[in-house]
Amino acid sequence: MISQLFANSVIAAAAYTLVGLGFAMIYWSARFFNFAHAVTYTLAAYVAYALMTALHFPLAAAAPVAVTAAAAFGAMTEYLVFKRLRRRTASPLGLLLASLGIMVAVQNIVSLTFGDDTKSIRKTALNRVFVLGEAHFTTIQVWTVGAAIVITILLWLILHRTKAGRTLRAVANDPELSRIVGIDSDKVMFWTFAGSSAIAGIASLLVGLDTDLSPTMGLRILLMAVTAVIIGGEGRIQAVAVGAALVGAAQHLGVIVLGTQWQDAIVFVLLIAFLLIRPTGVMGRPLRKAAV
Amino acid sequence: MEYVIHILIVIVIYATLALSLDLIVGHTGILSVAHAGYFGIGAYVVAVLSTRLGIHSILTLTTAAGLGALASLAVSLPALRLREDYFVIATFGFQIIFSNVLNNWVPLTRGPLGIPGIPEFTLFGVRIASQGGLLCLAGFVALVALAIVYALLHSPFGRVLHGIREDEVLMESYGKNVLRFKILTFAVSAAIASTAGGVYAVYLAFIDPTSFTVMDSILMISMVIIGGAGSLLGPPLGAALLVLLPELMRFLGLPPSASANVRQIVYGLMLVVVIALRPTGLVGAYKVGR
Repeated sequence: MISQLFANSVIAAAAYTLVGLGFAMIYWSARFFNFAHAVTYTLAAYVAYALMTALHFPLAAAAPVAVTAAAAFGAMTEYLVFKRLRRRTASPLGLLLASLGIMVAVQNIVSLTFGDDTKSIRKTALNRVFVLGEAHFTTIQVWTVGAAIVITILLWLILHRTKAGRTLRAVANDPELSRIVGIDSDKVMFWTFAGSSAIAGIASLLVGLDTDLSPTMGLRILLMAVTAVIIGGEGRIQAVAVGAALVGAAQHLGVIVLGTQWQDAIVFVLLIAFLLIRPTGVMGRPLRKAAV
Repeated sequence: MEYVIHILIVIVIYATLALSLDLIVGHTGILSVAHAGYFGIGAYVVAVLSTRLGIHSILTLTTAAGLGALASLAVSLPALRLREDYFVIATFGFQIIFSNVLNNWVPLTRGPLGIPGIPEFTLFGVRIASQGGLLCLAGFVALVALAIVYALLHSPFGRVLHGIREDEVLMESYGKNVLRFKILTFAVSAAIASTAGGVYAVYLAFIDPTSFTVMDSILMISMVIIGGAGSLLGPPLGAALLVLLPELMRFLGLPPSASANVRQIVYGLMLVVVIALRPTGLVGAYKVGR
């Protein structure tokens, strides 16, 4: 039983890592909590669903289209809404509110178009069950864990070993100074949104192929991912994975003590505890500036 | 006529909620996504007291107000120390824990089944059974809330609140205990929201967890911001607008199931537009998110 719960924690952690990475990239560079990330995630799975059921696309063709759609949607929210709000000197709270508005609107557009009942894009070939020791898991779950590891490493390499990554970190660190040295921060932001949203799209497909789709799927996983980002600690890619592992473990190992129905509550108790006791997260650096 | 009174009662209840939320959002300048929680606490307190213990007097409403204020301390004492965006996430967390409790603490709340058969209200020995009577009750609660908010804002307390909204550090340097002002404001706001929840429970005679979710919190925030934060007129106006919206769409021939979605699409987009183009809302006095 324990090894099954452990496997479940790892699988959940992988999904939270992927969603958390995108959310964190946007948070670290644009400095606001982007709730629209929830519907970027939801949209990708539904685009794949629509292509596979209505147009009979094979998964291999639907997946890239869905990921591209997610990237385009994220970039569009930045271009049409958030960039303009920044120009109008909106505060992080204003940006957060606008992203909440986008989330509510798009979630309901999905629900109006596809209905509130769950939809499935599962493939029997991907849901074949493996047994390792006492733990059961499926092909797609292994893929999810693999994707989380690969994308985390790739993202770290991009951020720390390429010029684009350095530019992004410069904007995240000091937008004012990077503008002075001639970095086009709007362009950096645009591509950050596109990339982050593409990762959300990948996560959405992987989870969608494992469980079912529903219009509210994005908000729930986003809140888990946000928790992972906060308790992981700010500014580091690998911290997101650590935070996600903690959230996954709390959620699935907490089941031993409490019932499954308290899974979500456990995570938010953990979040609130961290915010109060260690708001910089487990791997967070100490604050550099006076927090005024 | 019955339909008109029904709409009026719902508007008055949501206007009360929006007015109380504006104390936090528009007058203190902090965003809380837990307001549907206080609304729910009030509703469940009244429901449980009247169906289990047979109390159906004004006592249930005052108990609801008191417990709502008490519950707000559980949120505000720890979370208000956080900086603003972390505070929003914390209230998100509290709201979801609350929904979880409503759904899972079955012995008390009956979980997703909800609590039916909430009895009528007795005020000074008179049973309020008619719709008109309930409208008076809701209106009375709204007026008391308005009086409290008005008095609070036109006192030195209110001036300090506005000071905190504009420059927290400055207020701190004037020797004001900013945290204490925020905690008190939160408690007042929650007490009003809980009372509104109590009226809601008595009026519908049936409540379940679906009326008190995160989405309802976001709806209330939208009412405040679209109507106009930081004013006495704005939040009730926003409430009336967003309550009437699905009813109008019903007249346009949309099925009720679709009109719920369309309402949320409309207010989601309105939230974006208002924040971008008119941060004071329709008639507000405070620019939210600037």
